[in-house]
Amino acid sequence: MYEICALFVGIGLRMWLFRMPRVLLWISSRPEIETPLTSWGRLIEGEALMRNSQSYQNKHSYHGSTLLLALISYLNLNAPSSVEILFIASDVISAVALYLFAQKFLRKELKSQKECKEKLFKGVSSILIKPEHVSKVPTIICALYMCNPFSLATCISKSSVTFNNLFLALFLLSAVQGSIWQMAFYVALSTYETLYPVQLLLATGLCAWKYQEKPSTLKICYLKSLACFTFWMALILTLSFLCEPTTSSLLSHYKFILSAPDQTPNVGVFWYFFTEVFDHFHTFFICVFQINVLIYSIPMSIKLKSHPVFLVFMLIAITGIFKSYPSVGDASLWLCLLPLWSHTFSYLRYPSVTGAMLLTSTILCPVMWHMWINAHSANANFYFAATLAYTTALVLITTDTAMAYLNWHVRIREGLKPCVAGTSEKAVLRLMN
Amino acid sequence: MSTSVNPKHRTFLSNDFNSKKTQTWAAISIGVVIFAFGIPIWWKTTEVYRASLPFDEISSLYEDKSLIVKVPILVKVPENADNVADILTNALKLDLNNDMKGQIKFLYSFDDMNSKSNKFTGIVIRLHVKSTEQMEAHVAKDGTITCTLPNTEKNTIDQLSLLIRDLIKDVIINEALLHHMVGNIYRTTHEDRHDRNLIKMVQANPKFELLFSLLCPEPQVQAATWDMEKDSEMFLTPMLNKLQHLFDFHVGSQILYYTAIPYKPKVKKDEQNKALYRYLTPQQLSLVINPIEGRLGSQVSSDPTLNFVVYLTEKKFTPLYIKTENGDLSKSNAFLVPRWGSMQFYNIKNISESNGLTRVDPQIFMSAFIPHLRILLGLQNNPYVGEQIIFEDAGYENIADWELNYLYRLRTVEHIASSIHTLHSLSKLLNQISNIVINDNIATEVYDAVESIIKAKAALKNGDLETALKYSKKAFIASETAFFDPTLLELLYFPEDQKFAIYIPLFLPISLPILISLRYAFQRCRKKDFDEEEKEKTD
Repeated sequence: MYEICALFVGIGLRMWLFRMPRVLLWISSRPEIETPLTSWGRLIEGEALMRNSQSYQNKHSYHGSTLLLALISYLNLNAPSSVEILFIASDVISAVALYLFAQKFLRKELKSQKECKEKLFKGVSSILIKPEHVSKVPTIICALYMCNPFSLATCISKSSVTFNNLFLALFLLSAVQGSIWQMAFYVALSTYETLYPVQLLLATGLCAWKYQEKPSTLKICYLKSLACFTFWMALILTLSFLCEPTTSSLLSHYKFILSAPDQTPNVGVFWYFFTEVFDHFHTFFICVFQINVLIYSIPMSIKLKSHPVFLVFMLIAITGIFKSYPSVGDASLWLCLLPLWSHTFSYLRYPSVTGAMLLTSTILCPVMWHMWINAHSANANFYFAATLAYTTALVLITTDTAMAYLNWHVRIREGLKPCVAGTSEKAVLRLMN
Repeated sequence: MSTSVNPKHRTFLSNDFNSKKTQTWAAISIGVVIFAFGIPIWWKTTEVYRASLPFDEISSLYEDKSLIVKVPILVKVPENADNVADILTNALKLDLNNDMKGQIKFLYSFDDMNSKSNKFTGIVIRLHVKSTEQMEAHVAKDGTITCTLPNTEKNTIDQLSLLIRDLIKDVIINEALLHHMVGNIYRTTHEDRHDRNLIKMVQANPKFELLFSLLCPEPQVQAATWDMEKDSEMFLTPMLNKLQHLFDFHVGSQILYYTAIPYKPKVKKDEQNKALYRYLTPQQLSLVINPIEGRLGSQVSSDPTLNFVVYLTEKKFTPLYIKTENGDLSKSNAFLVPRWGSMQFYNIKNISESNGLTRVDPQIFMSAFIPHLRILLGLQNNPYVGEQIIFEDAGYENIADWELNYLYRLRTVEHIASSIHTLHSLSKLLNQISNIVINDNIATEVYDAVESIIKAKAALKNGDLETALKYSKKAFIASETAFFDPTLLELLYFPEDQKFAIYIPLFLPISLPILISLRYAFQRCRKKDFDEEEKEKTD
């Protein structure tokens, strides 16, 4: 019941904010919310270019995907007001998908926990998953997603991150159901839009292996998911090719993501570095930064083989922080999923620090931007420092959550406190080693 | 694990994220990515593109700086005096080819004209026997030396040979100047400072701008004008056309008003007509150019500019003359500034009769500027070898054919020496700084230059001056283009020590956790070995 309330509150907030043009104007000029890859203004510009000339892939305008442009331009032509409804609807569907996903996931976790009760250590019942988790947490997640300022801002600014979040939420829902076709479909859609979710293929196989109805080996799951993904990707690319029959339009989108030529400030780490790097090393450092996004996927999928949903969470988080053009909308998705691991919160080492850091840096970013651009009394370093604090806060939340999760899994087997008497065992966990 | 646990839920409990096998595999996967992708990407993306250059050829050209200049000499005698020709030829051979030191070897060849190139660029000597008191030599416009001998005895011929030797070595070929110039370019000698002709001569460049300026300091009192286009057409164009293979001239002119020189000429009374005149001493002349040079606009063109300035003397200073070093008044009233140009003080006669605007007489200023232009180009005006040698006037073209050949030879040698030196400096620079990017266009220019130098040297050795000039000019332009290419001066090259400053800020913090975990892995490995040893001991 509460979730329906939350949904309506969210819809109401969005519709109210859509009616305020000054808010719309201010939000659409914020670099934290809008990036050259996802902004609505550029999409409209690309649509205008497409209407007047054949190709729309201009160096300084729209860099998104073709199908999105086709869809939005079709809607804009026929029913302009339906665009807002589309964005609100995608937010609603994401929230519902996240609600269903959280419910199913927590139910399955609770069931597994009950099945393995004899194997668990005595006296750890205080930290186990409880039935009220299953009833409360999904509602909290749904409410968080609908009402948090990051996703509100993303929806209001009509950026395409909304659709990316939609695909990822639907992917999560299909992951706990274990159906490879659906998972591959959503991964393909998400990869088509922004290239990085291709890492989720590693998690697809693992989710299918764990949550499928009929058990099969890991290798077969991986092969199947790869095949499905290839099929869906080919289908989507063919559709896109039919819309705009040049190969350059297909590739320029990914080339933009990979080579990051536009150095407009955003909350990421790319722009500041590449405004000042020497030409001789430019290519090298582009490769380094892109490897930085992708390198964590394989070790993490080795380490979190039996916890694929957490793996998906980590991959979404890391991609959202380190990708070439991140925005707060990317962070809103996985931040809303934090209550899923609320049973591990007692093992968080510094939750208040990171929370305060996130809040402070989020407020500092527009201030520093204003001081830099409007007041001319600061420079790019100020803004970059604020966004760097924001990124660091997100990274700390991610690592802290991971530590707490792994710690919890060790503790339920070995007891709440470390070994007594005699040996001083150091519970040392390293993510990479 | 008991079998009652559903295999699906088994994963809930598996602690494999902490097992050694998982950790090892995770560490190995990172290592594989770094070594299989990272290192090759780093190697490939930070390599410096260097096109290949012919360093060996350049260094061999520089090692062997010697040039062989062949000058064919043809001796023509009247019909029945063939043995005279032989005697003269032998005498000349002895006298001319005696000193072969220096980097330029002048090969005076007396072979018959079997290399029938387009033009004979050598020396033709004609002999006549007439009853005169002493021998005479007359150098015609086309370079033929016509010698008049009183008789055909041996010592007369020996004397004639000596005379011709002086004429050829000092004037027609001017070996000393060529030696000094090459030494100057290669910095091997310091005698160039004493060679006055070398100092006055402009250094080689494919294009020159000739700027004629008329300065009227007080136009309200007396103004002048000129029709420079017509005047240059009449006086300059024949000369510049003759020089078209050597240099590309661009002639411009301007009239500047209210540009005055702040000088104080000295006053003297002329003994003859008791009129006052003013004069400038040579020391004062050195201060005259500086105040006005900024206004001349000689930096407008990117080619080197030769300025020729006509200065209308002010009314209060008219007439103004220049005193030479030995106290006489200069006839042309003009002075030469080495490598810059020349300036003439133009006195308007009959000032009171002029109604304001006089036309400057081109005869007066051109007769001063053209000899100065010849000096600037490297020629000599009125060379004196002895009173027995007479030079024919060069005519309306102002340059004789033998002088043109002389200039060809001079500039060819200069181009070759200068381009070898430039290429050598370039190769030294590129070898020292191994990080400079060498683009393909630079490589093409260098290859062209080397090829052209070799061809020019071969042509000089054959005595083919026009081909030699063509190739030497090509080599000169190519080597200058390669040396002064802007991409060689940009910050495209990275010193090795600065590379650390680029890599360390990013990679040192990243590598710290990796190194620490490597250390732990190593420790664990050793502990495992230690445990196994202990186990073996107890067993």
